[in-house]
Amino acid sequence: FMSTKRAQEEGCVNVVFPGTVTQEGCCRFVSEILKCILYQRQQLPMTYDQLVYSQRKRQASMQVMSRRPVQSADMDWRKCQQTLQELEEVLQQLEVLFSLSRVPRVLLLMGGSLVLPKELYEINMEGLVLAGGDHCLRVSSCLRQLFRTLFVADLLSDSRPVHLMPTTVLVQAHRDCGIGWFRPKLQFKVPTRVKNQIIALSTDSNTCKELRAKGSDWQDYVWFQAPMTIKGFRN
Amino acid sequence: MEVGNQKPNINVEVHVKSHSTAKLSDVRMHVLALLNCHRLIFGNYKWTEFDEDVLKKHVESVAVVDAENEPIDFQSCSLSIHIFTLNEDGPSTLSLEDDEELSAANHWLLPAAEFHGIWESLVYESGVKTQLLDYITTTMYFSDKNVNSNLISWNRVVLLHGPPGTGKTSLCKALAQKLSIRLSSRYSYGQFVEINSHSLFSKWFSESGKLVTKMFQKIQQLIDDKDAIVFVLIDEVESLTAARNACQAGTEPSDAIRVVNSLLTQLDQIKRHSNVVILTTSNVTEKIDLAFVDRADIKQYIGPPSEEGIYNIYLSCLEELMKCQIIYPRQQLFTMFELEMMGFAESEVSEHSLILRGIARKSHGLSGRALRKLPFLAHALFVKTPTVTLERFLVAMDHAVNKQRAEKADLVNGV
Repeated sequence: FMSTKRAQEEGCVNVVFPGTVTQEGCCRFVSEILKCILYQRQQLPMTYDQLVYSQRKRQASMQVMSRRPVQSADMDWRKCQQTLQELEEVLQQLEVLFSLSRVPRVLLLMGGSLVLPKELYEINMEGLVLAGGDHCLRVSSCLRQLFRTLFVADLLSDSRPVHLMPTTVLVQAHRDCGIGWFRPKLQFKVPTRVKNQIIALSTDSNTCKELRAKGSDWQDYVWFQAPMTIKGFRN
Repeated sequence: MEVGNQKPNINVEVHVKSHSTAKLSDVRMHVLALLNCHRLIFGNYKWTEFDEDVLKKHVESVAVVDAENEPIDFQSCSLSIHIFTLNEDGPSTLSLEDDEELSAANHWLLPAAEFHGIWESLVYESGVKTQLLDYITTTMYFSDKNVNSNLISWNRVVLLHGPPGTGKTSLCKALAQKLSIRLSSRYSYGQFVEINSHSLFSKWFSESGKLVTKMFQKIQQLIDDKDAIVFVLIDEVESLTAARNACQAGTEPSDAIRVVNSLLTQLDQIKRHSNVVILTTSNVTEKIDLAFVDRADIKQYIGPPSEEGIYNIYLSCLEELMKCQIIYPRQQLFTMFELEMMGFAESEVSEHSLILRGIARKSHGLSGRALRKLPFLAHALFVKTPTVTLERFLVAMDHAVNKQRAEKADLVNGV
């Protein structure tokens, strides 16, 4: 186990799973990490699930009430609605992408520009060994391990207030996977001028003797960019 | 460069579709095959339709660009093939203060979709555009070869000056776009930073100098990436440097002098880096600080367009209107070059082109911005039907030019 201080300095958290995982599992990891980072980095006022819940409750109560809600609350509600829609769309498209291609790396760029973002997070899954359903670890137990490690490492917390900034999702996928929604960015290079916080997921090589991917296997994997950014909001 | 490489160089720009994931080497191979089928072409040429599947699927256009108006034989030329995709994201802002929504500069990734086609739309005296391009390519080449700039004086500061509405700012954007495509084998990124000079004057007294420093720190971060070529545009520099003079005259607070001084020092700092080009524009040359004019090596006067220029501007406008079927049916119009080749002979086919030439002649003295507006005014004021024939539209344009000239005369008399 890496000590908290070291993880923060090096900006890297290693999560080693004691067995193989499924492709759908990988998709869940990415979705949950994305939601978690948006909340932890103060782009969402509550966790994603809380927001969805309160939004549904609000919608139901609004149908009962005939009176229009007050203006400012209305604006807040619409901002929240918009963020949730954006995030939902990205999550759905991630699912599509994961069904078409293996995804070795995912980047979350927050603020600034593509070349010089304010914050940069990488989910690296190159070291994961994938397999079919039966022999794999359960997604829920993997998620528990993942978030326990993340919180112990304390990678995401910052006592200083963070500003709202757009979040761009970039994914690495096979060049011929045929995904339409994400736009290829063949020239893209991971920004080096900003600290890259890496969450590296891998499969323990002792427990799993199956063939793992070599570096050369990723040759035909190129970067794709989500065509929209997720704009956070505040209450 | 290889020794003995004396063949004329031909630039071919290959615009790859934004959804394409093809390998550059594959695209290149297919483009070479395409060029091989066409032994001889005449001047600039652009392919937008292809028989071949790979090109059809991945390539928007293949264009031979910035060539002289003479036959080109591909076999006897060395080909530079520049393959690029456009960045469709809009500009992002470089903000200085974290707690303030103060954006000091707009920032584009090049080649940008927003800048596409500007280069072609700008029409100047022969050679102005290519000369500028050659100037900058040479400075980039010199800095690549580490030529000592104390021995041979050269730098990468460009000043474009001339009357308003002649497309100086657009030319800066187009130049940056062009260069990022041309130099794509050398730099994998192009970046374009447009500084809002007015935002550098802080509302807080004595803070302005600091803002300039902060902004250049951001730009420095971009420059530090040696894979990127960075273009910095400072529009209307006279507004900055005039401040310094006003300051000396006592009409402006002394804070302004610090802004200008710190800007000049910072420019000196960043221009040392070989991957920076500083582009500046000015509507007046006399008012600019001498200290600044001196720093610019490449000074280019951009005047109002000549008759030929006006003709070509109108031609591109009419082509666009025919493409959108506002002018219908489509009719043939010749380029000035083609008209010249025919000796301006009157015939049925050249009739419209010659009328347009007359209108162009009459429009002399209008700014480029006014010229590009003219077809719109013609339609709004004198056409009034959704579609129109070319004959009627030319009559409307003639009226619009008369109106513009009258208005211009009124303005001058008013002063």
